[in-house]
Order: sequence, then structure tokens, then C-alpha cells
Amino acid sequence: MIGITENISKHFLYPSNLFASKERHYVTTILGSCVAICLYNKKYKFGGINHYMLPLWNGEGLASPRYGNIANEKLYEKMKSLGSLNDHLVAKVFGGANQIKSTINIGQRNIQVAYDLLEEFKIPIVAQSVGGTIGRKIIYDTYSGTVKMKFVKKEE
Amino acid sequence: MNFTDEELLQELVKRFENSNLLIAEQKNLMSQLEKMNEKLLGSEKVQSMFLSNIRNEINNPLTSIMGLANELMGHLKEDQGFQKKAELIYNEGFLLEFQLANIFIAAEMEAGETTPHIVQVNIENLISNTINSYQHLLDKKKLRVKLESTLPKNEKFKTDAEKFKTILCNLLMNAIEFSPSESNIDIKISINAERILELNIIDKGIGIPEESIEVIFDRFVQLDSGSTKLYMGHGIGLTVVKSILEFLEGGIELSSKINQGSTFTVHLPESHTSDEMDEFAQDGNEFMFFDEDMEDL
Repeated sequence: MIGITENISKHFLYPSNLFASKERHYVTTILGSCVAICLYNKKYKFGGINHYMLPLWNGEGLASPRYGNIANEKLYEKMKSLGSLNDHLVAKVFGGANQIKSTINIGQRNIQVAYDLLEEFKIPIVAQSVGGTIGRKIIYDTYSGTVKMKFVKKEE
Repeated sequence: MNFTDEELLQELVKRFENSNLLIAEQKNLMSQLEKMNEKLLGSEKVQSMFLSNIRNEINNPLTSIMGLANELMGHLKEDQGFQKKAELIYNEGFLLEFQLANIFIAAEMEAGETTPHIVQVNIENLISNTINSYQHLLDKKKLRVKLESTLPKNEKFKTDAEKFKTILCNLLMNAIEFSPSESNIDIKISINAERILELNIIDKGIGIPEESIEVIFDRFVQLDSGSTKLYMGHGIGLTVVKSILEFLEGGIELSSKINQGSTFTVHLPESHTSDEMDEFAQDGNEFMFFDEDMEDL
């Protein structure tokens, strides 16, 4: 259960980054229009998470996990390299709020990229909180798969 | 079948011995498995540490080489020939270090393992120190760098110093590379009221055709490519610059005229230090996405 943190490592996940570990971590991240997928290996009890800002990489700049298609693929690969098979994995999806008026539904498109990948790899979504207009802060316990979430005022 | 007591006893002893053997064998296997597991855990750690490990493996010897070459240059003043060679070692090492820094940061960013290290930076000092460290390259082409700053003295700006320096080095290197000999490179810095830093790097170089401005930040693009190309590098530098700026929520623009030169304009908003970033809470709206829903499946 999240709340009392004795000796469990904490990790703050910055945008455009991803994190996966077999050791138990509390991973915190703050999402606006960004989306985070928490992949959880329910058999071996560990998890990974990404945090991407835009749906698709257009070949400009580095092929970094700033972009959904790359971030999702990389997270999936990383979970596999740590010893996950597809049917070990379940997903929770967060974020994709539309906070900034001018951008054309970035949040919604980010969410769609998450759905597309999870469908492609047949990974079930067991929980989600997406869309809306308010940002979210999540804390992900990579051992239990539990995600604690708060709506937050602060924009990204 | 009838057994005598003695036969029964012997059979029991035999079976006990067998089961003891089995247990011993199992224990042996178990300890082997444990060892294997430890190794696997170790190798996983090694894997994830790979980047930072090899970074030190390469940077440490390179720093020694450059330090020693620098010392040699000082001591070999009486022997022009050897001094030239020491200088060459230093210059080549310098370029190698520059390219490796780009490669490491690109690898780090593509792996999604970049963390910002936000500190108070004296931007003006950082820029003039960087220019100084490029002096040998500037001298070679007889270039003059003019730094124009509207920043108050000792002005501090919160950003990631190392990443800012990488941006600066790449733009400066780019300007040096494409400037004709004996020309000027102008660097201008200012910070506006919204705490956005503007950095201009202006060269009088060959310029970039309009239709190519779009692709110049793409990965591994150098406009004049192929074995006959005049300029060094593999086009990773500007890609890295763009990606770092995106990471720090800034941006870069380029205006250029053929044969008149290029101006790179960097906009970089001031970052927050990590303790400022956590100002989120709005109480009374906590949601738990428990593991039960996971276990049901």
C-alpha cells in the first residue's frame, strides 16, 4: 500500500523519459496533456512506466520517448527484456487532459496512441483515468501495480 | 512377502539414505539456481548502468590524454616540431570529446534516461569560458568572437548547465566550421521579462538554402554529404541541440541567406529547481487504482 514509505526507492519520472525495474519503486510523475502507460507484470510483480508528450515522432530531432509511438514501443521492449511475456502484462493508462486551448487535441491523440499499442500487443487495460481538462499526479508502486492518483491544478 | 525385522530395517536405512541423497542434490541445485539468479540480477544492473559505465570508461582516459597533451604543449616550446604534434593530439582529442558528448547525450535521450540537473548558472561566464576553450579552433581560422550581453552583472539563470553548454558548443562549433577565415562570429544574449533567455549565434558563413532549413535538425543530415563533403561531422549536433531544447521546453530557429551567413536563435525559459516542481496538491481528490483489478484477470 502506498502511503508509508520505509525503504522503498523513489523515482521521479520526467517527461520524455521511461522507467522500468525489477526492484520495487514508487514512481511519481505529473501529467497534463501527456500520457503515461503503467505496464505491470502480474506474474513476477514488477513494472515499468513511460511519460510521453506528443503522439508521433516525425523524424525531427532524436527518436526519443518524447513521442508516444516510440515511448510505448520502448517501454514494451524493456518490460520484455526484463522477462515479461505478453500474457503477464496488464496496463493502466493516465493523462491526456486538454489543458492548452490552442493545441489541437494533443491529449486525445496521445491517449489514442496508447490504446493502439496496447491493442496491437493484446495487453488489457485494467484501469485508466484519461481526458478531461485537469492535470494528474500519479504514484505508481511497481511491486503491487497500484497507482495512486490526484487531480492537480498546476499545468504542465 | 515376508521380511525379517533385520531386512526391514536395512530397507528403511536404504530408503533414508536415498532420500537424503535426493535432498542433498536438491540443495545443491537450489544453490546453483540462487547463484544464477544473483548473476542475472547483476547483469540486469550492468545493462541499465551500461551507458553511464561506458561514459566513464571513455571520458576518463580521454581527459588524461588531453591533460597530458596540454602539459606537453607547454613544455615543448623549444622544440617546434614536437610542440606541433602535442598540439595535434590535443586538438584531435578535443574534437573527439565534443563528438562523444553528443553521442552520449543522444543515447541517453533516446533511452529515455535524461534527468535535468537544474542549478543557478552565470550564463555570461559560462559562455565566455566556452569561447575560451574553443580559442585554438578560432585561432586556426583567424575568427573573432564578439559576445554582446544585456544581462546585469552576475545575473544567475536557473537551467541545466551541462545541457546548456552542449547547446552552446554545438552552435559555436557549427559557426566555426561554416565561417570563412578572418570573419566574425557574434553571440548575443538577453533575458526578457518572462525570464526567457534568448541566445543568438550569428556567422558570416556559407548559409543554408531556404528549402533545407526544415531538414537541418533531422537526424544525421548534413546538407553537403557524401565522400566529397567539405565539412566534418555527421549532422548529429543540431539534432541534439533541438532535442535538448525540447526537453528544457525551449526552442530554436534559424534564419539564413546563401553566402551571407546564418543566425541561430535559441529561446530557453528558466527552469524550476526540483523542489519547486512539486507544488501540486489540491486535497480531497485521491484515487487509488488498486492491484485487485489486476489480480482479477
